[in-house]
This record gives sequence, C-alpha cells and structure tokens, in this order.
Amino acid sequence: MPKLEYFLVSESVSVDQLTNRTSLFNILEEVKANKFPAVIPQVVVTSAWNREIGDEDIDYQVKVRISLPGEEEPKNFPMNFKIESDRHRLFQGFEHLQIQQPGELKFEVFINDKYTASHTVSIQKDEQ
Amino acid sequence: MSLLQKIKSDDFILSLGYEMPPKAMRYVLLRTEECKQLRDAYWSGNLSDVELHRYIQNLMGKFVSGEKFSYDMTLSLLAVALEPLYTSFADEYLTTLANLELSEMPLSIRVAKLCVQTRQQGTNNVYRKFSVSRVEEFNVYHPWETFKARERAIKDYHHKVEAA
Repeated sequence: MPKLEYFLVSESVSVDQLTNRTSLFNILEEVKANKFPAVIPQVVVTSAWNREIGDEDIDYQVKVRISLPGEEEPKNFPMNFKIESDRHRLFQGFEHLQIQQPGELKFEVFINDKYTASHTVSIQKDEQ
Repeated sequence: MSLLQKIKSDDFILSLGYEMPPKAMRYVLLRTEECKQLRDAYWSGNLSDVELHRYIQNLMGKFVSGEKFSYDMTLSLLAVALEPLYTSFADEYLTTLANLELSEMPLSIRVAKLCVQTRQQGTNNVYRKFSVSRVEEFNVYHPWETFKARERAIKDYHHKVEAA
C-alpha cells in the first residue's frame, strides 16, 4: 500500500510546469473570524504518496474526512487513483467551507479506509 | 561558436569519446557543461521551442538511410537536456524520438527511451475539486485573492443572512 510522505492543508497550491516542484501557499493553522457563521472560500488538501513494491495497477481510494466545529456528522470526500509513478501527489480542493462556530476544524486522510494522518485548524472568534 | 553549433561539431562529439551503452552515455551527457548550458538557455527563454524545432529539422535533413547518423550524439544530448523540463515540446521530442525504429540512430533512440522512463518515475499530480457548501450563491474567488476574498466572502455571507 502507498506510504504517506506528507499531508498538509493550505489555501492554495501551485505546481511549476517546468520543474514539477510544488508550492503550498498559506498553510492553515488558525482562522479568525469576527462573526459566525464564517466562510473559508478555498482550501486545498495536499497529500504525497510513495509507491511500494506491488502497488502497480491497483486502484486505491484516498478519502478526506472533514469535521466542522459544531457539526456532529463529518463529511467524507473520496478520490480514487492508480499509483503509476514512484510518487503521487493528490490535491483535493474544497470550496465554500462554512464554519458555524469557533472550535477545531479537522481534516483526516484515509487510504482504503485506513486512517493515516490528520491536520487540525483552530477556528477562533476575532474579538477586535 | 553558438551553443547549438558547438553541440553538433566534430570536436564536441569527439570530446565525449567512444560511444558507451545508453545508460552510461546518459550519465556522461548529463555531466557535460553543454547539457547544463542547454537547460539554462531553455529555462531562461534564450532558447525557444521554435529555434530547437528548426535546429532538429536541420539536423534530420542530413539523415541518409543506411548510414550511421552523424548527429546521433547531438540528439542524445538534447534528449538528456530536455528530460527534466515538463513542456509540450520536450514531451513531443522525447516521445517521438523514443518511438522511432531506425538502425541509423542507435544511441539517441535508446537514450530518449531512458529519459521517458525517468520522467515517468517522477511525481504525478492529480487534482480534484469538491464543493462543500450547499449554498451555491457564493461567488468563487481566485486563490491569489484569498485574503481579501475571505474578508469579502464573510461580509457577503453576513449581508445575505441579515437580509434574509
């Protein structure tokens, strides 16, 4: 099964066409909003996977689970892929993330339903 | 002498010594100063796709069926130089050369095959977009505007909630 190299959540991402190098912009750690509900217009979840022996031609499913503060049921976003090269980058973009209240916004990544990593964003009320 | 003239000159081809197996030849070509200069020139825009296309066409014009191609080494060097450059021209050059079946060009075709393999071993990228919100009336902002966009989106949302 592919091994996770890294997993990060940022506002945007760019891949250089000439060198295939990736740049992640504004890694999300804490978000302050003066009113709730608040909206995060765009979030990109980036995960890089390393191929292991025997991974060729197998269809894998990477699922991102988002737990929003104040919502009981997390939302699941699955994405299937075949790992055709030594390393595979997956970019899962989310638009219009509505945040109902301050708390923890949690992103979890699963491969074939196996939990692999998580990234937590602190959502705070801006008192100023 | 310009770089493109230099890499097709007898002096340059002789300076590389005897032809080796394609894998070893790729390493030798990779270490040449000319390979670095070609990449730098292409990267910086001093060497355009059109210029390279004309240059290769000009070299291929000297191809004689049944005779070993004189510029086989030059084409090999170009393949190695273009290997890490992910442009449509580099793609086309490498895949076309790698798929040729010509005994007159034994080295460049094999070197190009290795370059294509190496490129495929690089990192693949897959992007997919999801819409989380059921509220479709939000404007979609571009990522380079994110800070201002976030502020605007929050304000817009509150205006809409208050109006409702």
